[in-house]
Amino acid sequence: MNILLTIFLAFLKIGTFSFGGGYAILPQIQYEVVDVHFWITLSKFTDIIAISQITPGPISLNAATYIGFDLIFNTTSSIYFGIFGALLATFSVVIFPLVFMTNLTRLYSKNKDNELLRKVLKNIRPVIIGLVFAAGFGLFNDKNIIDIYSIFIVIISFILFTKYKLNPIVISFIFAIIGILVY
Amino acid sequence: MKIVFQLFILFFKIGFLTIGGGYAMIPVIQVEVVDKRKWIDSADFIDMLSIAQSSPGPIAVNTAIFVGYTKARFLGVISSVLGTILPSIIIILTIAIFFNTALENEIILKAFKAVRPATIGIIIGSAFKMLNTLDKSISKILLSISIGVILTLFNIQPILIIVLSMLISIIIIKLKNRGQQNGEQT
Repeated sequence: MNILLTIFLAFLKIGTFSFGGGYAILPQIQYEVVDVHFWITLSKFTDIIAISQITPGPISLNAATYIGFDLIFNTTSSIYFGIFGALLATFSVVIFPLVFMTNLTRLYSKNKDNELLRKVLKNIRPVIIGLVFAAGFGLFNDKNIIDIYSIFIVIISFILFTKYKLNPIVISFIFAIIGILVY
Repeated sequence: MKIVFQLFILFFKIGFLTIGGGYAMIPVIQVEVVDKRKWIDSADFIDMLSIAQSSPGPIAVNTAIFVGYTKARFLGVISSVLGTILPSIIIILTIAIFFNTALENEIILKAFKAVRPATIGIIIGSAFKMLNTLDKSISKILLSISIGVILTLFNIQPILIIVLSMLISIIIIKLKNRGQQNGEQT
């Protein structure tokens, strides 16, 4: 019972302070599960991140689901308890953001016609778009860009998306098949 | 009631088929919600991103909350969030229970070598499409791209940037208003 409460509190904390989404949350998770609670080793954590990155869905949620399962499964050896642990960790991560974001959205839709709010949101648009650019630029590292073809793929998928308006999901599948054939 | 179900299906589909984390989901949500279904216009979509990034939590979940609330209030929020997180839970549990290391699968590794750079192109493309909402102002477009570059080079928390730029914006607006009032008085 104690471990469930600890998991709930640890992941609640992760969710509450997880500003910036995805990669910004990972150090928080690492801090809680590796450094504070010693639930998993650093190398296991790296494996979990790798799995989370190549599976669909938000990375932080994937990591929470995996760690929640792993933790309870290892202490009880029961798959059912493990599934419960996974659900517990995942819901603990989203519960605070859920309440917070719903209220922010409610505030926004109530004050949408407020002149100051409209002006401010319009003024900061370049900044918000800059954040999305940064999310893309930030992925240019030796893990994602492995050779000259990677650069071509970036450019071609950019064109397919912006000029030919192909659905991102379709683009990903095309390149998944190309990857299997070429590499 | 139909819309609540549609929201669930849409976000389940997005959650199930988008690889590469939250920011990779933004372009898909953009296409499905703005371009195809026209539930939200492109300017409101950026307002939504401002709000989603000002709240803690995965950006995909936060966007789902915004879209869900806008279309169907609280029931919409619940169905959109469940739709977004259920695929992750199902897939990760499947991997955790049945395959300890899906990573060792060579075919998956090969596919990802090409999918990862494609995701980069799509995310940058998504930001590029958003430049349309800047009233064709060259200085704003350049500002946007340079902020992108600066943020890439320096590791700064997005929330800090958003709050800071909101404050600066409020100060500028207030100063302008005061200037106008003074101008009227004299």
